[in-house]
Amino acid sequence: MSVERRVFVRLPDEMVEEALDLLRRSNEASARANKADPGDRSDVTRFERFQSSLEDLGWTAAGRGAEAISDISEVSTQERLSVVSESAFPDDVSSDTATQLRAWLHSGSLVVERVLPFEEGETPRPDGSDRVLPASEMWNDPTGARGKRAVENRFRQQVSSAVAGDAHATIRPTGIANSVLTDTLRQYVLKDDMQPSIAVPVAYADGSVARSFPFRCLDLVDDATPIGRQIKFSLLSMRHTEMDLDVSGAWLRNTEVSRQRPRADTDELVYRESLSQLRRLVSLGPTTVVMHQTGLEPAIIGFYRAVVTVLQESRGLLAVVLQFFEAGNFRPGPTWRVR
Amino acid sequence: MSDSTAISGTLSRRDAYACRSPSPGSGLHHGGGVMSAERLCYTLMAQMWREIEMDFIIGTSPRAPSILRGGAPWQGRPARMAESSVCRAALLIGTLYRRLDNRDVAGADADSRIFEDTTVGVTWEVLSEHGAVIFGNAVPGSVPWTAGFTHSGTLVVLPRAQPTQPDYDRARYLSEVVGSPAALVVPSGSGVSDSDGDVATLVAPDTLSDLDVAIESRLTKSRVSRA
Repeated sequence: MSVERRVFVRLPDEMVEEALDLLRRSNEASARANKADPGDRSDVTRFERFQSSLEDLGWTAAGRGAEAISDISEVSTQERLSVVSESAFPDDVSSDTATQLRAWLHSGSLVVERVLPFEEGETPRPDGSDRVLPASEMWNDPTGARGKRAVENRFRQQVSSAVAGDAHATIRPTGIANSVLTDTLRQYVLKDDMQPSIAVPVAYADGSVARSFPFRCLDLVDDATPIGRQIKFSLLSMRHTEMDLDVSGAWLRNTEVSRQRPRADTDELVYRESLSQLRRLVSLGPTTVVMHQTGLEPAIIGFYRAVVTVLQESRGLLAVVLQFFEAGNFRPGPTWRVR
Repeated sequence: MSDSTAISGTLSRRDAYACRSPSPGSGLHHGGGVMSAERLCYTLMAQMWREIEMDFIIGTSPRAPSILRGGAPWQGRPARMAESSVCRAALLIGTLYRRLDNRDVAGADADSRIFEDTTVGVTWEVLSEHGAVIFGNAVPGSVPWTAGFTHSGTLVVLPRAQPTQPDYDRARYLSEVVGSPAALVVPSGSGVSDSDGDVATLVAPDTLSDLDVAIESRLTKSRVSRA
């Protein structure tokens, strides 16, 4: 296997202006990318284009004989740009290289890092065996159920094990029916005086891991009586337009939620959006949200995580009443409301 | 109802899947510390990376696990830059392989035109320690994307998005060792087009920007489609 060689190039004066412009644009794109919705990589693409152009400048400078120093140490995962700076000084270079880089920086020079990935040499073969997940053991439903019912029972068992303190347990909501998902979450969100609250990791079938879900943390009551003003929503727009006759609006925009991205990113997007909206509603007084709910597992998990958070913050100011939309009809579901 | 011929047990299903999946050249290992066999096979079956591209990545870079999982975080530019260099080279070699392996039947003299088998059957071997590939069983003739260079069926190629003089020197060395012509394949618009003596420069039809767009698409698929 080949080894990587890193080359740090001191840019000549005539290239500094162009390099500074690219650096400014990189920083602007980076700032926008950090504020973008989960999964939105448009500014990431811009950032990488500007950084590539900077690295090309370093390449050109090296070709013209600019001062350069090379280092064969392994690149770390440090978050930094390809332009060397004191504030993000490389933590993965040899001491000789570090000394030279600091000398250049102190003289006011701009230094660009480049990587040559195919230098001849021996490199340890990566041993990712500790990260390779073993195949899951086959699970058999103890009740003998098959198909969809077995999938739902397995989910309940996952949640039960996780809440019981199984350190390796995660909940995997992919493929679970809308109502089963919600009912199971509600069952285990109920506070248990004998045991503390617990946050359980959530993992989706695509391998992405979302923010943990809090359990055993709320004194929920089965009281569907509305509090304050009542507003009806569908969870996602443009999914079942027949609901539009009954609701005042859609909680989330389908075009924003249903994008190709890791499911955990969708979960996070829905959580942040729902948290913001719920907090805004309760800031105006007691509110009952009647949620006409359809199935998109990351949206459901994200939404109810936000509901749990706001119920903990604003006791008595929020009630969420469910209407499950299944097979063309509405069926009432449980209420999420604290004592 | 029981099926006496059904595969029972998770382990035997993994083995069967691995056996039936396409197995490319020298670099692919079933799991072996890179990632699970299922993930490797899925990546190939879905053509997120083509066989020769994956073989090249695994064979030449310790960053293969990160690349095949979707790449390093963008905030760590040096790691991302290193992976980008490897991916660019992999795509260049993949494009060249398809070019060499495609038998152009347009204008054939035969009465009937056969559409089914238009591949030559070019083989490849990754030279891990040099970041190079030896192509074999190619149709002898002109070296693609260059003028005045020919080969007799075997060609040593170094894919480099940004070639250096030492790359040409290494190509010359490999040419002597292997006993076949050597070439560098570079992207269009890289500013490098002149061959270096007896080492050809193959200018691929893709620009660096085209390569980066394709890489981002594949890394996104790898991130989104994990299962």
